[in-house]
Formats: sequence, structure tokens, C-alpha cells
Amino acid sequence: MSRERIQELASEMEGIRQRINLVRTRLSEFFVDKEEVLDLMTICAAAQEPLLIVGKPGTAKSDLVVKFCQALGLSGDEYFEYMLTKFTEPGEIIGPVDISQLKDGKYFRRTGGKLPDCKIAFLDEIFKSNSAILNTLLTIINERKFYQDGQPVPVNLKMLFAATNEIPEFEELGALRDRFILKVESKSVRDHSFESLVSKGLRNETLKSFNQRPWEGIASLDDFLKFREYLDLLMLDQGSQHGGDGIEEGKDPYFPAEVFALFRRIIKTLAVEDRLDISDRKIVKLYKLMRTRALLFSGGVVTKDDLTLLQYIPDRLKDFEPVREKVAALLRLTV
Amino acid sequence: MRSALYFDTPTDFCDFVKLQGDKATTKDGSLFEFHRISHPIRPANSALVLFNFKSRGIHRFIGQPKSIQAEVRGDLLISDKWDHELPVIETKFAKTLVEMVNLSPWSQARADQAISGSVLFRVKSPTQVAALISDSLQLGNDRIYYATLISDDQTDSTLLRIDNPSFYLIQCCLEDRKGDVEVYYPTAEAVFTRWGWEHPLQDWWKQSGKERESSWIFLDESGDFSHLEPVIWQEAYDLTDLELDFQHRREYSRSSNEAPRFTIPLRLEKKASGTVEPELWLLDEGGIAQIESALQITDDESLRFWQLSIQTLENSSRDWLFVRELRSKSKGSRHYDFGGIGFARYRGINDLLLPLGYELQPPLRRDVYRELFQLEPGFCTVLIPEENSQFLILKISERSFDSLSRFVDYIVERDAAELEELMERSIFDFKEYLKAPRHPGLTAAESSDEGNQKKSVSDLGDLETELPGTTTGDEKADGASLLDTINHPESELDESSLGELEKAELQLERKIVAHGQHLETWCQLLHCKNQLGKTADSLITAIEALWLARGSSREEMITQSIVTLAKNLLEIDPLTVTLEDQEWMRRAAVFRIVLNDPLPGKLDEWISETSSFLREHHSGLRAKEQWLAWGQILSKNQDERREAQLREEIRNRIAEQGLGLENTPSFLRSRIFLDRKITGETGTLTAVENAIANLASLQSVAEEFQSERLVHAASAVLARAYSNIGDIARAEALLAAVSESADPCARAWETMFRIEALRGIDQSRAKATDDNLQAILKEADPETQRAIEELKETYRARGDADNPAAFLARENRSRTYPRGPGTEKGALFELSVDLERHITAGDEVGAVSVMRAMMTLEDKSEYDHHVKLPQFVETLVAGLEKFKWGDRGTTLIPLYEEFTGRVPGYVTATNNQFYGSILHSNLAHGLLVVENIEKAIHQLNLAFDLINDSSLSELDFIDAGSALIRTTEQLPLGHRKSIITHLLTSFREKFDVPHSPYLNNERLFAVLARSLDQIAEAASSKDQVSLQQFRSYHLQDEFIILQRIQEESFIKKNQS
Repeated sequence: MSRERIQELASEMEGIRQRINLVRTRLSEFFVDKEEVLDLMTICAAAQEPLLIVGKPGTAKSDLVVKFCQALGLSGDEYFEYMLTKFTEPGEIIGPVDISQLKDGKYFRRTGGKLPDCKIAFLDEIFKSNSAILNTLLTIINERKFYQDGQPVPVNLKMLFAATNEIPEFEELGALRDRFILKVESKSVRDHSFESLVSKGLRNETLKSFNQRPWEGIASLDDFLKFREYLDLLMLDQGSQHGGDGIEEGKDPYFPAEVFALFRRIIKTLAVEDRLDISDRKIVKLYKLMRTRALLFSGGVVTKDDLTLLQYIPDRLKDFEPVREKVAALLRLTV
Repeated sequence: MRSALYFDTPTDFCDFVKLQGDKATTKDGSLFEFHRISHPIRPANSALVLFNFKSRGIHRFIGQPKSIQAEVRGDLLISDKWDHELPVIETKFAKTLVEMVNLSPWSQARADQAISGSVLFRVKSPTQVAALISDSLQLGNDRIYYATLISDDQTDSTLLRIDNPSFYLIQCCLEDRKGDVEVYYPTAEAVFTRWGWEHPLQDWWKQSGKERESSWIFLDESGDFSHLEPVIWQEAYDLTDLELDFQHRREYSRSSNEAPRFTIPLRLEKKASGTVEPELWLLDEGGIAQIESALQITDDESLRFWQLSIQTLENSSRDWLFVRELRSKSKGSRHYDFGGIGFARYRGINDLLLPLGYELQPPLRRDVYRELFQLEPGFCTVLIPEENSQFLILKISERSFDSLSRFVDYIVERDAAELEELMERSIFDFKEYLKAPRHPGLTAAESSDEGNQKKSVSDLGDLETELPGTTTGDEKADGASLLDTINHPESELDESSLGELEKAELQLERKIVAHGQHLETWCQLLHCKNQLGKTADSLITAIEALWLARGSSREEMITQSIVTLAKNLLEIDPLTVTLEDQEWMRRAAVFRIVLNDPLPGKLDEWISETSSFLREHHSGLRAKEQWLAWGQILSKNQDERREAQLREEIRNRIAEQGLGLENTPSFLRSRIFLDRKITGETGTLTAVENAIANLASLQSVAEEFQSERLVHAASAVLARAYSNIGDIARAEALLAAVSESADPCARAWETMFRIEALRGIDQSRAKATDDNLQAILKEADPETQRAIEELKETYRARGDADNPAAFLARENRSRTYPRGPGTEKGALFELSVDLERHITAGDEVGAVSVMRAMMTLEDKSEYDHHVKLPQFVETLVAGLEKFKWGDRGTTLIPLYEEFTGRVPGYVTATNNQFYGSILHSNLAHGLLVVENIEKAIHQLNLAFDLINDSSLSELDFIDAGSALIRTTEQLPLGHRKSIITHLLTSFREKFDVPHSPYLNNERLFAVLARSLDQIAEAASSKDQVSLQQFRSYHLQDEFIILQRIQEESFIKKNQS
């Protein structure tokens, strides 16, 4: 069955790839120097992994997510956006308690229009959430479920984008930090692209005032879902063909040995020299993300270029730039 | 004890194990027991002891183990080999020997440790060497060193040492380059272990140090170790050929000979923000009015901080008035605004001022402004906005700024009428008095004397019978010898018509003024006035005498005199009392009441009524009268608070306003004003003769002037002086001897001087000549017109001034004493400031102490400042003037006289004629204050010697000469001739030269004219003498008032 499905999806994959790539290239026309962020958003959306966008207020974080969702043609209920504060209660995120059911002794939440029901979510200032929100979020992000009346209920959430001004280093937020495998900085562009900023900003304002969205409906959510399905099936098939899980260095047809070794060494180097905290989960997720990128950008085989995702694994903002430079330098070395 | 093997070094042990291999066994199947111990000889090192080894025979090899008998007890090893116990550092057990030498892999924690220190790479392939070096450089690490090795099998290899290499690089070597590159890390000095492995005896290796100086040891994971000769490291850059892997070309550039100049416009723009206080103002058309308006709310003290400069520009018809505020850093601005355009210094540059609200853009380094605006010492540069957004960069000389106080003339508007009346009343016309009918207010007893106004001294009789009370025998004054006891100066009046009593009265009054107040003199004057029937004057004289009689035997007598005089005055018919008599009427009434003892049992009533009456008339009394009158009440009611109040009131009034003129008896004021004038009477009047002699001496010098202009000017000023003293004939002769000049400018000057001369001769001729002058001026050039008008104005103002010569001198003293950080520091300056404070407060004790200190400084270098010293002497003299009267003050007089001889010698700079002459002039002034004429003349001569120095500039000559004249005028007329004649002679030598700019420039010529006028004025003026005498009297009066009220207390006196 999976083979059939693979073939079925494979016939669509070229079109899906093109549309998904068009999303990122098209959207970049409406932003200044946000190609990097858009690439990551696309990759993470395709891999259905959460992405954390770090940046000061006014650096287009929300706008990127909103337009991305519009590019996918999502309707109102399919998209959920919220800015968290330390006073935000769970009910604001996952819905208020159903009073009528509560009278019957059942603890159900009315999730219509809330995080559990949406397909794509954008949580702004995610690290400002309190512990009540935190636990719920972790469960949703990691396990894709939440509890209704004590029973786990799968959520519809496919993609999660989060934004923050800064990444706090509190230990209690470590689990949440770790959920975001990739973190990217959305920087201010006024210093080096002042004219473009004004020009494109005005254009966007004008389009908004006339309610025009030329980026809308480039691809669909379905494209992303199929993409993810195809990749999962590929990896499943890979394992069955090569024994074990198929992810063995030297035996993975989609991850050449030398690139895999490079991956391993870079991870080790970053852990030893830069003291990055790279959990086992993160490594697995990174593998998947690299495969996603490779499939999306170049057709499937992971290359050194796909290892650039390793630039986005630091947990602290101050490590972003040094790790970026180091990864780039390591990738430049002769293998 | 047991058998054991002792190994000195880890190399020995490793060799031993290598030899034994796997076949080594223990004795009884137990484990091998290893003890690392402290080395028996080198305690910093370690050694190893092996137990349970089953010997199969010891082979000889290098470093063979030694067999010992030993035992381990706790932490110590005991052996027969050594006489002391050895600490056990480490104990291990192993099944095999090789376990103790085979390397073991690192723990994960050790593997995850960051790299620190050097790592060695033993590289077999040159290709790999290049790759390693390249990779390390790409990762940003160029601390790469190499050495070439020749191993036992004669194959070359390269040893690379990289300090703190990338972990990634090591991984690559371990994985990808495994066969080609061996990675080692330093375990100990000269001992290197394979990366990722550690030796079980690692610590021993660390402690063993360099066992073999000639070799390094490399430990492999197999347990093998190899020796290597120590290498000499070389920089990898020496091994590497770097080539530019991009298209390029090389070229050398050379310096261009052309140095470009960059022009950057400096803009004067309005400031966006920030305000500063202006410190310079350019006043607009109504500038004078603005200043006057501001000055009305300014006290005299504040005037010190304001300066005025009047500038003219070539293309401007009006004068430009600049007002500047001198700010101290501590006090900041005084927040005045004079209107007009305000300026402030720019960016802290003192001599560059910009209009408020403007700034120069872009901001530059401060020295660039100096160069750009050509700022120079002695000038301040002001940017003045003009029309059409243009700015005038104006340079104003610092010397043009003068203290505003020098421009301020105080005029009394409100009380002018009263003061004029007072003045008129004070100018006592003695002759008219003699001729006038008897005053109706005088006592009836005097009417019998009508027609016998001339009284004889012998009629004075015995003081005892004239005044109530008794006198002691030695205080009796013989009337016949009264005149003999009086040492009198020359008289300027026609005294031939005076009687003996009038002469005595005149001389006694002069004595009081000239030589200070003494009880005896006042008593004699009282007697005279009584005899002359001047009851009102007698009353005030008695009060003056009473003030000095405190505690003496005459006090009672004088008090009784006052009672009698007051009673007599009050018996005058009220209808005959005029308004101007109210003063002595009030006085008489007050003392009549206060000196009238209360009736028994009526003390309280007396106190109440008397106090009430006194309060009503308090403000009309003089200071001494207030104190004496209230003293009568206070001694009875013991009101301590009132006493303190009264004391404070008198003291504060004197401190704030000074002792008012009303405190000086009117007859003394008349005496002073009258004595100022020299009448035109000829004959044996010494003053006039002296004046004529002085003027004749000057005339003989003036006759030798070569310059026609000087001849005219000198003749005219001398003619004026002659006319002032009444010698009209000489005045006319001088005017007639001068012929009229053809040149309009010269004729204008001549005519102007003639007018001044004619004013003393014939006013109508003066007026006609003035009209003629106006016609002449129309033909003269504008500069001449301006200069003449200014000089006319000076003369006019001089004529209104009380002291014409001082007026002239003031104009020339503008630059004598500079202010600034150069002068306002040092012990002498500090003392001067203290002295000024004591003078203002009237603190005799403090002032005398400071003056003494000023004259006896231990550090004589303090005096060695030719600019500061004259100024300090002037302050010192002011203190002497005020405080020479008291017991403490008189002790200063000999000290000052000695000081004047000594202090000029402290000034080491001998080429400062200007300040040197000022110093001597000031010292002379002080000597005149203490009445030492001989030494004063000596100092004046010294001053002149310096002025006469040919190196002195013209303006300095004028200024220094002015100061000399000012002091000379305090000498009696008969002592002036030599000085002023020499000065005029020197003047002639200085200025009467061909092509002198002072003769050809109208403004400069005006300066010469003023100077000539001043010299001529000094020949005949008595102003300074009289005013100095009055000043001296006044200060003494102030002194004795303050002294008494400070010391006296009615409360205590009554209780004692």
C-alpha cells in the first residue's frame, strides 16, 4: 500500500514541489531580505516542525506568518493567531470550558476557532506564557494532542510558528525551547535596505488598503500535507529496503556518507566547542528537516548545502551568529 | 615484608612490561599489586613498586627494576632499601601487567571536553600535511608549527603542532585520515599520548618529568611507545607556499605630488536648541538709556562686574556701545539684560563671541577656530549680524573695556532741592557775616556788645568763670597765649578785618579739621563761640566736646554748658525762629529735656515722656546726639534691648550710607568749603603768592615750547589758572602774547582754550569767543570738531565737579590697575580683600591687624609684583586713612613710614617705570595721610624720576603723570613748584618734538591739552588739600563714633 501511495504521490510531487517553492519565492517579493526566514518557514511547514522566529518588534514576524497562511489559502478557522502574556489563560488558547458540560461533570473545552482546531497557528511572545499554558503547549506541539475530560484528543495542528523578542534562558522553559529545532532571527533591514523597505512597505500598505493579496492561493495546505506524507513514506520504505531503520551511515541513498559524516562531526564540534545542547530528539528532527529541504530544493539527496540548517540550532540568541559562521566555515572545508 | 620490584621511572616500567609481555604471572594467582609512591630521592616525582610478580629471572635491560623488601602499611611504604617511609600515592590491582601500560579510551566526559593546549599530528603524507594546514587556516587557526622527522625505518614524516585546534579537525584526522595521521596530546612534558586514549599511569608520567632529556615519548593505544628526538618547531608559514587563487595583477603606486585642498564651508546657523546667558551686549540706538535703566536697580558693588566699551567704525556714524559682564566661575551670570544684541562665548573660547542662538557648523577643533578667525591676545572677536544675513567680524581691543563704574555719575533727583539749599547754607560767607546785622535770635546779653563785634582774646578770660563747673589748674588756658598755642596754616581770607576772637575761632576750626579732634581744642572753640555769642554753634560745639569728654573731669562742666545753652536757645521768641533754625531748636529742646533730671518718684513718668519726645525727634538728630540723648534714658530705664537696637542702628547706618554730611557741624563745613578757594586778594596772602609762584615757574617752561599748538594751549590754560586766582592782568597778558594761527584746526584749538581762559576774566567775552569758535569749527575737519567738542564737554563737566583736578585725574586713571587672574591671587591680595572688608565694617582691630600683616610679610616675593604692589599700597593707605586715629592705628604710622622706604626695593623688575611711579605716588599719598610731608616729597621725586625715563611711552607718561599730580595736590601750595615744573619740563621734552603724532592727531592732542590743564590746575588748586582735610576729619569722626558706641554701655555703667 505504501508503495502505491508513494508512486501516486511521486507523480504529483513535481507539481507540489513547484508550488511550495513558489510560495517562498513569491512571498519574498513582498518582503525585504526575508528569504532566509521564508525558506525555513517553508521547510518547517513541509516537515510539520515548529519554527521559532526571533526578532525585535516591527521586524515583520507576524506579517510573514499571516501572508504565508494566506499564500496557502487558509480560511479563518484554519488559522489561529495569539499574542501570549504572563496572564494568558489556557482557555484563551485552547478554548473556554464548556459550562453546560461542566454541569454534567465533564470537563470539555470549546475549541472552535482555537489552537486545537486550527491547522496553522502563530503564537507571538511564546516564552511569556505561564506554566499553565506551557504544559498544554508542550503536549500539543510534541504529541499533537490535548486532553478533553482527561482523554487525549488529537489536534488538527499541522504547522506552528512562534515568535519572540528574545529567548529566555530559564531552566523551566528549556523543554519549550527544545521543541523548536530551528530558530531564525528576523532582523531589521533599515540599515542596509532602507529604500527597499520603504518601497515595499508602501506597496504592501497600498495592497492592504485595497484588500488585494497577490500572494494568495499559491499553494494549498494539502500540498504540504502530501509532501510530508510522501517523505514519511520514503523514509519508511527506505528502512524496509535496507533493513533496520535504513538510516545508517553509508547506506542511506538520500544521505551520502560523506555528508552524513559531516553532519555528525559538525554536531559533535558544536556540542564540544560551542557547548550547544543538542538532544537526541533534536538530531533526529534535524535529519528529517534536512531530508525535507533536500527533497524540496533539490529533488531528494541531501548535500552539503542542506547541512546549512545546522546554523539554526542554537538556543541562545548570542550563539546565532558564531554558530552560523562556524557551520559555514566547516562546510567550506574539504571533505 | 614482601618481595617487590622497584621501578624508578615509568619508562623503566613500560620497558619491563614490554619485555615480560603477557606471560608475566603472579605468585599465587593473585592480582598484580602496583603502588605508586613518592620517589625516595626526588619527592616531587614518583616511583612504582610492584608486588606479587613471579620472577622468571630478571633480564638485564636499561633501567632494570630493583628487588626490594617492602610492605605497605596504610598510606606508607616501608622498605629495607630506605631508612624512611614513603607515602603511597596510588594503588592499583590488575590481572595482567599489560593492563598497566595499555592505553584505555577516554570516558565520554573526557571526550566531550573542549580542547585546550597543543595537539600533535604525526603526518606521513605530504598531501595530508597540506590539507591539515589548509583546513586549520580555513577554520581560523594559524598557530601551526611543524618539524620533519626521520623515523627508524628512514621514512620521513612531519610532525605538526597546532595550538588549540578545531575539534572538527581532530575528528577528521581520526576518521578520514586515520591511516595517514596520528593524533597525540601532551600527557606530560615530552610525553604524548594518542588522542582519545589515556595511560593508566598517566599521572606518573606527568610527575616523572623529562626522564631522558634527549627524547620524547609517544604512547600508542597498543601500549607501545616510541622515542623521538626533541624537535625544533618552525612556523607552518615557512613550510607553506601560499598562492593567490584568483586572477590578479600587481602594481606599485607612488605618492602623488599634488596635494589636494579640501574646502569645507563653515556655516553660521541658528541653534536647534540650548540657550546660554549672554555676556556681551551690543546696545542699540537707545543704549545709554538702556544702561541707565538697568543701573537704577544695580548697586555700586555690582558695577564692578560690568564693563563698557565704546567703539566707532569707519563706515558708521554712530558709536557702538558694548557692555560686557565679568563673570566669576563660582557665581555665574547675574541675569541682567541690557537689550540690543546679546553675545556669548563660543564653545568656551574666551575671545570668540557669537550672537545668541547661533552656532558654527560643522563643529571643529578649538585651535582651528583660532586660526580661522585669527584670534589674537588682547582682542575679542565678535560676530555681529548685519542686514542681508551678513555678519561683521569685529575685533575689539580688551583695553577698550572699562569698568562701568567709571562712567557712572550719580545724581540726586529727589532731594536735589534740599541738598542745594544745604550747600548754600554751608558755604559760609564770612565777610557777609561780619557785615550782617545781629541775628535777632541771639541772646539779649549780646545786644550790649553791638558795635563791639571785634573781641579780644584777652576777653576770653578764665574758662572757669565762663563755663559752669570747675577746671583743673593745668587745664586753664591763658587767653593771651591762646594764639601762641595754636599752630595754624596759612589763611586764605582777608583776616585783617577779623578780631582776635574771630581769628582764634577761625584757627581753632582749621585746627580741628586739619589736625583732628581733641577735647582741648573743642573746649577752646566752645569758649570762643560763647564769647562771640554764637549760641547755636556753641551748643553743637559743646556736644562735640562732650563726646570726647567721657570719663574726664570736664564732662560735668560741659554737660552743664549744654544745659545752659539749650535753655538759652529755648527762651528765644518762637515767632522769630525761622525754618532754617529748626535744626538747633530741635537739638536744644532734646538736650534740655534729657539732661533735666526727673523729680523724685517720677522716674517712670519721666522715662515715658522723655522717650516719647525723643522718638519724635530722633531722626532729626545727629548720630552723636542720638547716642548721648538716649544714653540719658537708657542709664535710667536699663533697657538693654533698646541700647543694642540703637547701637546697631547707628552702626548699620554708618556702614551702609557712611557718616552723613549733617553730622559735621555746619560751621566746619563752611570752613572747609571756604578754605578751598583762593581769593583774588593780593598782599601778604601766602596761598596766592605760592600759587602765582607756581604758575610763573610753569610759564617759564611753557615759553620754551616750540610747537605753536602747544604754545597756544599752554598759554591759554595758564591764563585760565591765573584768572581763577584773580590775577587777571597776567591772564590777559598771556592771551595777548599769542598770535592767531592761519590753519583752521589750530585756530579752533586756540579759540577753545581762549574761551576757557576768558571764563575767569569776562563771561561776555567768553561767550562772544564761543560764537566765533562755532564759525571756525565749520571750516575744520570732522576729527578736529569731534575732539574739540569732547574737550569742551570735559571742561564743562570739570567745571561742575567738586574737584576739577580729581576729575581730570580720573579720566587718565582708566588703565592703571588691571584686573584678572594675574593680580587676584597671593597672600597680599588675600590680605587686601580682608582689609577692604574690615574697612567697610569699621572693624579697627581687624583692619590694624591686617595692615600690619601687609607690611610685614615674611615672604618678600609677595611684594615682587610691579602691577599688584601699587594697588595694594592704595588699599593700605585707605585703611590708614580710616584707622590712624585710634590707639592701635597710631602704632601703624611709624611702621608705614619705615615700610615706604623698604618696599620699593622688593620689586626686582627694574624696567617698569610706569607701575614704579604709581607705586611711589601711592606711597607718597599714604605719607601725606600720616602727615609726613618730607618723606612724601621724597617719594614723589622718586616717582618723577621714573616718569622722566625716556623709555616710558607717551600714554604711560600721561597716566603716571596724572597720578603724580593727584598726590602732589595734597601738598601745601608752597611744596609743589619743583615737582610740577619738572613734570612740565619732561612733558615738553616728550611731546614738543617735530612730527609727533600727538601734535598732528586731534584726539591725541586733546589728551595733551588735558594733561597741561591738570598741571596748571595743580599749580593753584587747594581742592585736594581741603578735601583731604575734610575727609580726614570725617573719617576720624566716624571712627570715634563707632569706637564709643562699641565700647560704651549705659546698662553696665549704671550698675557699676
